[in-house]
Amino acid sequence: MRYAELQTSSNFSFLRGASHPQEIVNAANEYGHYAVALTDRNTLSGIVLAHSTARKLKVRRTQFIVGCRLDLRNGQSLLCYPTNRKAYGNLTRLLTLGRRRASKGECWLDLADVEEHSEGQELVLPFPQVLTTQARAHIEHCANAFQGRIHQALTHSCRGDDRQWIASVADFAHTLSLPVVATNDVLYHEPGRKMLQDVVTCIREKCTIHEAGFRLEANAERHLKPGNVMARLFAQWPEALEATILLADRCRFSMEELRYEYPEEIITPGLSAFEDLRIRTLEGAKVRYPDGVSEAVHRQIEHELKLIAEREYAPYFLTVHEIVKFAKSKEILCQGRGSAANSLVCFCLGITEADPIERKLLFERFISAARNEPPDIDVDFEHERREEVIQHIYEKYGRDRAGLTATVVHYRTKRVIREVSKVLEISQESPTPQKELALQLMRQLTGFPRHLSQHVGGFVIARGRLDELVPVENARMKDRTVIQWEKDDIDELGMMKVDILALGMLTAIRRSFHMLQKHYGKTVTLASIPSDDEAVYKMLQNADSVGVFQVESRAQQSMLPRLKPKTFYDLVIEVAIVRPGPIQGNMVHPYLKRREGREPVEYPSDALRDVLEKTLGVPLFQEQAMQIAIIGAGFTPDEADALRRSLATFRHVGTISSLRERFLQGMRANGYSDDFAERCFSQIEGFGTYGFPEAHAISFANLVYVSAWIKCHYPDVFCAALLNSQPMGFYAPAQLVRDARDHGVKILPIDVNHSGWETTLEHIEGDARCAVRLGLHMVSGLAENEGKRVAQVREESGVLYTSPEELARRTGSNHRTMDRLAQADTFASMNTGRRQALWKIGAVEGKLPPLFAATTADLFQEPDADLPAATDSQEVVADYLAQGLSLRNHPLTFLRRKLKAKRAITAAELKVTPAKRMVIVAGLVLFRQRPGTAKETMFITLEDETGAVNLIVWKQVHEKHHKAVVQSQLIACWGEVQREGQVLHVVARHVWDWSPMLQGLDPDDSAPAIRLRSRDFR
Amino acid sequence: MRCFLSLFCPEIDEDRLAKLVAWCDRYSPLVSRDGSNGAILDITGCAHLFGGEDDLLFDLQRRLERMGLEAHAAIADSWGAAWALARYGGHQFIVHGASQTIAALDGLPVEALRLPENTVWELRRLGIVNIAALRRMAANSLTTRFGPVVVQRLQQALLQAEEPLTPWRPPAVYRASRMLAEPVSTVGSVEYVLQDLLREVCGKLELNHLGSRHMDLACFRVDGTVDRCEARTSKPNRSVPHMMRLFAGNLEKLWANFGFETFVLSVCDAEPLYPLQASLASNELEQGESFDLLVDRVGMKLGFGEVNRIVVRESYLPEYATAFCPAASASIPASAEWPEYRVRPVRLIDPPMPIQVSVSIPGGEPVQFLIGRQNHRVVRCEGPERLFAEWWRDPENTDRSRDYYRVEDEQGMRFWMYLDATRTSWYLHGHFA
Repeated sequence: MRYAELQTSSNFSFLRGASHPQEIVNAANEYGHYAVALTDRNTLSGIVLAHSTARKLKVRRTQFIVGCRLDLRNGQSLLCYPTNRKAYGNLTRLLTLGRRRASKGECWLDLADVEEHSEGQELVLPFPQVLTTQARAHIEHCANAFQGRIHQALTHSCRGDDRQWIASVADFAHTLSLPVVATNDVLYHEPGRKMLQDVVTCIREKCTIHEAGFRLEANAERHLKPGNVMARLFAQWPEALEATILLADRCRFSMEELRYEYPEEIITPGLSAFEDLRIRTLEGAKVRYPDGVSEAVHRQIEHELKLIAEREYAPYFLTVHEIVKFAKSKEILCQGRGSAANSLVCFCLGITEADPIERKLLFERFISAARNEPPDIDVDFEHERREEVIQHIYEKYGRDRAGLTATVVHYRTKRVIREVSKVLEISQESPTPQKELALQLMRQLTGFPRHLSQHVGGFVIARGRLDELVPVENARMKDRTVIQWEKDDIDELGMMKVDILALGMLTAIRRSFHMLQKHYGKTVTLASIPSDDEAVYKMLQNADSVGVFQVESRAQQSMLPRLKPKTFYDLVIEVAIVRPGPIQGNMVHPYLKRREGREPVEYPSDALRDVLEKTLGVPLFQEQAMQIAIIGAGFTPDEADALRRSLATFRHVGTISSLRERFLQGMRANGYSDDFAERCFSQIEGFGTYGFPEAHAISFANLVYVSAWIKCHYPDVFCAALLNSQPMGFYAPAQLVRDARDHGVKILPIDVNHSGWETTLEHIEGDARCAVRLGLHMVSGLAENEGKRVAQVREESGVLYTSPEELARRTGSNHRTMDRLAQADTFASMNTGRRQALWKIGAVEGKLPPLFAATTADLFQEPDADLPAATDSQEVVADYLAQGLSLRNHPLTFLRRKLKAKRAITAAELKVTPAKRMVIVAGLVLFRQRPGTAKETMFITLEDETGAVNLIVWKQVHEKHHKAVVQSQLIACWGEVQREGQVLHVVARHVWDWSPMLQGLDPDDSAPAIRLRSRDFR
Repeated sequence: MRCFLSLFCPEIDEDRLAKLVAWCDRYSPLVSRDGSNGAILDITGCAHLFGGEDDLLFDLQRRLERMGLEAHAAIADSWGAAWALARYGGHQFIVHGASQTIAALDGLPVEALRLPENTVWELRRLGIVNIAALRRMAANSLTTRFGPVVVQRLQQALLQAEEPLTPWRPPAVYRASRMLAEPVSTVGSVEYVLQDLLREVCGKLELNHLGSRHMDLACFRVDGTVDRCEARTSKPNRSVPHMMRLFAGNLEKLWANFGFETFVLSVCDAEPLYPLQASLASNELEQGESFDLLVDRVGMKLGFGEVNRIVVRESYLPEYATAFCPAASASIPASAEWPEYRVRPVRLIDPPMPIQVSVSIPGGEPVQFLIGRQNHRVVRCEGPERLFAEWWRDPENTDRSRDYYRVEDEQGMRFWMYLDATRTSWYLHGHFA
């Protein structure tokens, strides 16, 4: 019996459907359904997945129909199926309209909106469970409004009186000459998902399964049913079954018809896109190579242009060029990342900063002839100014043509456990069968889409209206619009995407350049710094890298002295090697050994020699791993890419093990050892999510070098720039300031009479180097506009403030602002200490108009109060509370006597302690790190008044002292000193929580004195 | 001069605190809970009953210790001072007079003044850590900065300002009391007094169109101890004879000892109760009333927890679709709205009766069936109504559903039967009229 299922909700109807779109399409195909339509609620998010599943079916019997269930504001619904491309555009525009005027996640549509966009649509009224007057009116209205292209659905839900009920609905439809069509209003592809559907219903309704009552379905009938079952249920209404086929035949629109077109207005008038690109590239080449464009460069440009022309990618390059040009015109620092750095055209256009010729990079890695999908250029911008670029794109192309890509946020294990346990009221004490059932449901729910979020920066720009291609909705952030599809959907449809990413280090570098210009008269650009400065490499070899891009993490810091970078390419390797890919693949130690000459450089075969020569025979970059799959295991480039992708996303679950088999077999067949093959595969696994291609490592290494250069030669500039660019990087301001002081930079305290909003540099008589004056932005909790006004009023009048009250009067600052300023001890220049200032500002209430304020202040002239003086340790505690750091003393100096009594040694003493010795160290916790590559091991960095100490806490110790390891602010640890070259660790045997000692810092206080926020990384 | 006792139990929970406060009645009628972990007693004029303040404190602490409760207590002339000493006072338990109080409090931290947490924090960061430092500050400067609370608390603690205490027992809506010249100890005389008191309060209730569900009779013995008994009803009530009946059973449990000298009847709650127009035909009213009276009398005998009424629950499965709820509860949970098309019989056969059914092919509908030896031929049939098991009740056996059919036999009898999950066994689950 031929049957088409026209009403299905997948899990993209969030918390309603209980099957993936793929499962629905596959199941329909197995039943041999004539067609299946996906009708999720007010969304088309799932249709690309369904479409591509249908397209890839091995035996294809089922046609996929694009559809949508429109839930209207009056509580009624309509199913809508576009019959052609134009109607599809109408539907996406309708959804855009509804989504854009509602807040995120909602959709406001009225019947009038549907009528307006109904051209070319086939409509179906869902089957009602009761016919209220309102429902009758809705059906009558729709029957008239959409005459000739509307059906009434009939659904057999086994509710008992189905025959009579269906008959009465059918009769009512008949009186309106409304044809009927059978559907099963599917919520899951097979009945086994009924329980999961109950669970998601409870999550949606925020109730437990016991409270859910009639909100659950009475039975498990809403699954896909084979044609013969449907035929039996609708034996009395054969016309309803026949109608499914007729209707399916009319809904001929296919996703294949969507053609994405690049925007064209960026093209210089009178030129074709390609001609324009060629001219711009050649002009750019002249700038990049001022000494003349060599033959090799010329040949490469022509080669790339040829490929670009073949693929018609010219408009894409032009679009990216236009965005980069805009950024540069606004002096927003930017740099292309990722594989785009393989392209000389990108280099000439100024999109990337590394010369691919010099670095011997291959263009084919960027645009491969085999991979028929658009190139992906990702560009990093300063994190503080990226929004300007984004708004520029909206402005230039309009919101109807540009939108951010969505990211589907999936249910992850942690959340699944929480939600399902809540619904089923499962606890540790629950009986085993119950727990097992819960576990089974948790497994099913994991990976379900939960909601749409915005991609970090992936923009889709179209020539025509974007909202005729895909529905556009509001993002949570103001002024952002997001399309309903995610990156993979876009790739699937061959649409162009530009990633506008944010990078904090670019902000810091731009600020540094600015300060270099202002205070040292030096003009510097990303490209102009000589890349062979020995002092810079020397500094990095000593792991002196606090604040330096990428290589400041603890893992990088312990790698630097081992790798001893001497050239730029060493930095490239440094960036690439401390990644989960090489670490998981056990590539790090062989590489280091070969580099130090302790192991001969060998190649698994001559064929792989070319691939691995750069890295001494050890694969470190993503493309090397891919090349091994191609050359070593005989994969086609397409397969290798599919392999990488299958590891990266949720979508292709289940294919990994078969690909793994293939890979290992291929390697064996080509005569490679199993061990090597296994390692390569686990490396590819690592790369799937966190791999760096060589070109990307080069782009990053560029920033590593530039930031290291600034730190090396201008530590004052570096410190100020980093402080102004917070939050970014690994270290908190306290460590950055400390590091700068260790490098001889003078740091001046925040002061309302000297500080600007930002941290600035001050020239000091007789010193070539500037001092860093901490800015008001360091005062925690101070509003930006308030802080700026304090600096502005002072600067504009040129008169210093004389007292806290006077400052309040002149600036009109409110009580909160004054409180923050006083708490941060910023009135020192007027001889007013923290407590006096706090007392004085206590009388300043609210924001008074200046005139009035003047009189009240005079009226309430109070004498100075008799306040107890603060001790040094109290001052330090207060500093930490108000600005997260103290220039006075390290908190541990006050505890040193006590610590010594407990036999704890300082970080400085540790440095001269021989290896294997057992010691006790104690310090404030800076970081806790639990890298994905070493799941059970915890790396902790402590700090005392003399420096930092690195702890390694193995699994057993961690388990034994879990609370102390995870919760303490002041950790003490007894362990063994371990040395590897310059790298020094303490391997913990016992860990204590000494945080209570911090309370002793302020003898007056019983509450925890310093609440240090350690930065914990996973 | 008043005299306060503050009790501080750092580890106590909500439940035990409520009990503790009630228990403290033995020391003073003016008792109130104080925060989440303490109590305050106004023991003015009470201490001598226990042999003086020292002995009272000793008695209190000994008893609490026996109960296994960690407790700290202190006595002072003000609530604030007693509070501070109980929590921060160390070894000072009893302090009297202004100068002694100041001396005792000066060394204590500012927290001891019952100040809001953030005020304490603000004072501390100014270096004002103890009460001595706080007293050095000018009162108006403090008020400008922290509002009136700091000065007020300081003055209250130092006996410069009054602080009234609200006792824990909620003030009754109405109360009536009788003080007798001679103590009584027989049930009959208590009944006599009670009737008198009831007439008084019920008259007040009627005047205001109110009724009560809960009345409480406190009987004070000659020796100063109290015994209580109470009466509760399911609906607001103000009928003297009815209340008398309800009290009657409990009066016997009173223990008079040397006799009662004072009785206080309190109306603990009151709700609107409008006078009813007596109907002319006039049996309905009495019936309605007598049902409520029945509920009350049964409830007073068995406990109101035992008297239930039936409500509809949201469950598709017939055996779970109803539930009992206490009949006397003020808020009867709203019965679920039952979907009209799901027809159910009035009574279920419990447990369902296995029956032999032969079915049509391919439809699977019952054609005839045997109940006992009686053969029934199906004339009309509706269904199936398929109901999925409430799988969370039996996690090992989740994939179960039943198909219910409504059938009518040739004699016009209607049955409700189902085919269970095995797809072979049939059960009769009810009859339709």
